Amino acid sequence: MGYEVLVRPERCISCYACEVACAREHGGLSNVWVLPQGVPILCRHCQNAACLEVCYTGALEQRDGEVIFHREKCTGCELCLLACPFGAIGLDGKRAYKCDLCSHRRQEGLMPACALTCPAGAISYSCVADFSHRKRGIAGLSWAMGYERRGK
Amino acid sequence: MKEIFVRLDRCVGCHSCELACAVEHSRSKNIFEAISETPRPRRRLYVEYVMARKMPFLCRHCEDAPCVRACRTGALTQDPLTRIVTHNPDKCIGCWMCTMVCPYGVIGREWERRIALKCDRCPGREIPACVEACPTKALVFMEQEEFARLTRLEAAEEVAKSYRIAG
Amino acid sequence: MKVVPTICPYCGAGCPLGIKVSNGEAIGIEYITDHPLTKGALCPKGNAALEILYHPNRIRSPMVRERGGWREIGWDEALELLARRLMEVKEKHGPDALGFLSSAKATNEENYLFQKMARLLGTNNVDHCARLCHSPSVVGLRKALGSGTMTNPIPDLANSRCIFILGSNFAENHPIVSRWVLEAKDRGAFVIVADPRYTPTAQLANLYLPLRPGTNIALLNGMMAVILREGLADFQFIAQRTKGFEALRASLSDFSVEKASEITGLNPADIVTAARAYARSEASAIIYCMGVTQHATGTDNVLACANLALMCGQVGRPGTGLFPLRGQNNVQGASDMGALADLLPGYVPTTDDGGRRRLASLWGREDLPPKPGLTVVEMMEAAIEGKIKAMYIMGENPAVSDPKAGDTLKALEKLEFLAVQDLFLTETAQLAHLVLPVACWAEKSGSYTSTERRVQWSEKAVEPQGVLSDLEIIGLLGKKIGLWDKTFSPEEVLREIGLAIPAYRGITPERLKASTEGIFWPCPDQSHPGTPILHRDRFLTPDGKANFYPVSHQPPKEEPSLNFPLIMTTGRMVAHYNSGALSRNILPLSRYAPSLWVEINPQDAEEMGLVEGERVRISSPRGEVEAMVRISEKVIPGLIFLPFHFPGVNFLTLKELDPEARIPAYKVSACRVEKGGSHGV
Repeated sequence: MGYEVLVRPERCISCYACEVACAREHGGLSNVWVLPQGVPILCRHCQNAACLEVCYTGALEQRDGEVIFHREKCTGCELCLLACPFGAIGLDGKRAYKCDLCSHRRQEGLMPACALTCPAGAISYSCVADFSHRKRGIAGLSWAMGYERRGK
Repeated sequence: MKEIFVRLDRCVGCHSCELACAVEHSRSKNIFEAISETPRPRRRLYVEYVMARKMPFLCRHCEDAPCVRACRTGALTQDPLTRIVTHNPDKCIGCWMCTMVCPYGVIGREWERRIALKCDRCPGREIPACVEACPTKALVFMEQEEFARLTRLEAAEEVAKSYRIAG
Repeated sequence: MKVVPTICPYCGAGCPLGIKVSNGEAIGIEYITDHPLTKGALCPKGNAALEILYHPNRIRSPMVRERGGWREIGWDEALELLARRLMEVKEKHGPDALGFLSSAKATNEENYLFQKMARLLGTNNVDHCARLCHSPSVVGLRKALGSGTMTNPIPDLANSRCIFILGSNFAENHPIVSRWVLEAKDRGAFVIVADPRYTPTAQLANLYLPLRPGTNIALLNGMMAVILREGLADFQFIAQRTKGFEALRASLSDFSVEKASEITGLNPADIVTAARAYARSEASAIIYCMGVTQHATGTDNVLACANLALMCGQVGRPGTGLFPLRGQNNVQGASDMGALADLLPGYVPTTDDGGRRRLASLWGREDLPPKPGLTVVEMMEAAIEGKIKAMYIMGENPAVSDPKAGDTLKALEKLEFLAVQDLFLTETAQLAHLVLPVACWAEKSGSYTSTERRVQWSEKAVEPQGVLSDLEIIGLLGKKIGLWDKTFSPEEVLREIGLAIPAYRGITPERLKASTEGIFWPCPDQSHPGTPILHRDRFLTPDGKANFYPVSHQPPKEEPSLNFPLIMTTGRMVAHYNSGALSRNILPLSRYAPSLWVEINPQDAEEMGLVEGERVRISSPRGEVEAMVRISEKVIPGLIFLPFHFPGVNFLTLKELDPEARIPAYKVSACRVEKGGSHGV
């Protein structure tokens, strides 16, 4: 519980490894989009997600901090695409598709592919507490080095 | 405007600030009752150990804050006068955009709900709880000018001391 | 289902790649998380590697070219034909009329056997594409440090406090390296990137130096001048471990940061910052790549890098050293195996009588040809002159990769006999008389040596369909010619390599198969753990001391002129790989860039009235090519950038060679851009 795909955008080298890996894991369509500026965009699995609110067929469902998509219930009305604040839902013909956090891999106890494959370590699969703790460690290093220079 | 400043050389890593923060953000504001509350009261600042130093990390309430920029739902807002960044839990959707852009790693998560949690600089108090709780005065709440003056005084004291030694 | 451990067939980083196999069929890839280099990561090319395996465009049967097109033939007939034609040319024109191109994509065993075949046939005309990428490193670093390889492993970069990156775009070409550079940065390291183009690597920098193309030496000498003036050199290290410092000091006495700034076009303050950061930090590393080597002064450029590292004592400790990043999965191994015209296995010069005879006696001969053979580009020239009559090319695509491609095509067409061994019908294979299909990396076993000198075993995951591995083909061919009387398994050949090359003596198939992280050569005996960091106590030169070689800036061979006012430089992009023979066939990769593009600065584009997406004709004195315009601030005004993964780019490049390393000056050519390709807008 509490594990998220979290991104450190300053690390992204726009190598598209996550896109290629995601497409391979999901039958040719990638659920993550890398912007040329170096930001991977993928479903944030929001609390009270907008996509879920607008879906009238119940194809989207929230469970355990995850927004789950039921493809067979989707009618392709595209309302979720319009509602999503991140543009993280795609359309394949007449059905939507979105990140499922690699549910088939997690069942085998494996990490989502994008987080594991990222060569630059920009994408991680961790909880917010660990992620922020690591960031504080990095920020703390420069802070501490500044203090070292001051000699106290 | 007053800010919270950290005097790193004074921090002993006692975590009093963290405790005070959690209690201040509980419903009862009393440590004995707070521990059994739901949602569990959580701290919004963090004492870390880096290079053998103890360092309290708390929101810097940055000018033109990156977290406010990244927030897609308007849950994070910045007061133009005080520059305090406030988080509205009702609007937060737990997308962690703010967490991912924050350079200091000071936006955490609520225990029960999947939403962000950050320092609000104790709106109801004259002095923030963490500052008040700090036994070594490593955390201070003052104007930037005042803080700089304090540092100058310390430096002047050092210089004066060395002059005394030199006779 | 089982997961078979293999090594990724793309760049030289040597990332492990697990292949999920079920009922003899590869069904997916799995990340190997316990490898110290990758921790499970893979770049897009590695992620799409499996596409090669069942690709419909793969050749599945040997083919001969006849007037009406290609005719499929059996393996026996094909090998018979190959053996006969090679021997005919040898009988008629002598062994030096044969040319062999080995492959940096093939295993150590295959390269070893391939060059052994060439040399047993009596010629040293065997070379491979290391000539086109890092031959200056082999020559330059061998002169300076005694070994032409990377000094430290890639993960060791995390221990660096300052990383100086020169002419390398590893974020696109060796993405896994960025993990360790970013790790160092998280730990407070200062990252400097010098590159004429603002690449994704440059985005990682604390300090970015947009130097003019071809001015590396001026920058490095400028930095050294600063270091000397400010007394930041490590004089203890210089005194104890190096020779020739006084000559270097003298050569720098009339050089200054102002002069460097004039030549490179950089702000002098930035050069000073870079010099101080590099010299002052406890551990500084230099990463360099094609931007340093692919010049007519390639060897000098490498020597300048070595001078800087030696002057500051930044070699032989964790987090320090020189990192020439190799481009192909086994380019290090192919060089170690002696698939080079002037070097025998283990970097023994062909002119070294003792070393050569020792090897000859191992191969059951009295002696081997002493005269250094022709290098990649020289072979093509010799073919045009008619000195080389037949070529046997294993897994290379010189029609796309060699400079001044017009000449290369002429040369290949002029050959009496050309045999090409490849996965796909490449641009080179289309010119061949005989094409042999081969097994790809997952269809054979063998060892690969990564750029870090890490020797790793790659296991066969699936059975090849209709094709043979390079090793089987060479074995059968040698048997037909009468060089040996049996075929070899990779294990047998690796054991022979251990006998031939002292640095590989302790590396056995058993040890490699048992180890997840491989063994770093030199590994002199079976109980030796391998050597991740070179030059710790002594350098690998004969006397154990490193050498300074003073070098000075020389202008590039071609300057912009009235007719050709722009400078063109070439490089790579993340989704494609080298000559594109693999990546252009793989849709998940090629969709990122299906055709050739050119990057032009907005200022130049405005002057020429070009718009984004327009097709233009780019020409140099040697040829022309069409490309799609990408307008971008990444290149400075006056510079254009072309990725070399597409046929045609090398029609423009220059064939001037570095005098020592014989590398062509790919990186700087004069050119012009004209509106309107044949397809219009």
